[in-house]
Amino acid sequence: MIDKASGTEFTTVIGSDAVFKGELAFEKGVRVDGCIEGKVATKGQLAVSQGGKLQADVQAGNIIVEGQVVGNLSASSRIELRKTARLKGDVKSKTLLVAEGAAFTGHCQVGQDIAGTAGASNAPAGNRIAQKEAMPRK
Amino acid sequence: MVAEQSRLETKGVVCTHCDRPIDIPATAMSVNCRHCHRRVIIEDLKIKAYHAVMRLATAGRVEVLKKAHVVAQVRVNDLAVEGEIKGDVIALGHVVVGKKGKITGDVSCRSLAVSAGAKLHGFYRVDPDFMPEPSAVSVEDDEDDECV
Ligand SMILES: [Zn+2]
Repeated sequence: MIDKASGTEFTTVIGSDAVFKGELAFEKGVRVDGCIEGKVATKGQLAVSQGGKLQADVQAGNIIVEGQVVGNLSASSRIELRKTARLKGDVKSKTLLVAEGAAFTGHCQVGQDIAGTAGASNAPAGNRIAQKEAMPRK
Repeated sequence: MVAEQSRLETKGVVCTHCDRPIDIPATAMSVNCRHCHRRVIIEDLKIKAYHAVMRLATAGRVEVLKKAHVVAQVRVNDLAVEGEIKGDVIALGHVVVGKKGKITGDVSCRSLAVSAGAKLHGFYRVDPDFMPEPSAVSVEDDEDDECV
């Protein structure tokens, strides 16, 4: 579960039976259990849980994906694709973590120099994750 | 008897030229592919310094160490990058990019692990079922392979 693993409480939860179309903007963290089509922007953390579907371009502080995403992801701090993640789209972030089993097709721009151009520029400090955190390996 | 058994032990690999499966002796360092008759390197390689070749191919594992800089088309089973690679990468297994690792080029692999601090630029295809299409091999590929 995303909540426990990330240690983040999400102010907004898009429920599993909800479908949103259009541009959505959030101030803090949002978890998507349902479906969003369009554009999503948040300064905080965006999490797509295992049953969640996103057909959208995303700008966020951090992004965690366990579900399906079709669209471009841009994060000012970190993008994490967990083992059930399925992503078709481009990725732009300072840090990328990909768990074994995750599927991903798209252009990738990852590195400290990407930081200034990717995602919401001023994600809240509470949502920033230490860069030295290691990738879990097999 | 034991010696005879170990001599017969085989493992399956995929030819780095034609992408067809071949059975090889478990201890072999290189073999000739029975499909395309090209030499296939099986051994694991460690790249420690600047290394520029047309193609770096092995059916084993390649480690690009901290001070290494590889300029090549890379075709491997597993890959660990602590240094730098410039070129496209095809890995049939796992690709691990360490915190100082940098890859500039397109990457196709079955799984990818990226440590914080790594730099990646290119098109990525990470698919747990990834398998390159078996292909005919062009003549110019023939002498380009390189091992350390
Ligand atoms: Zn062959």
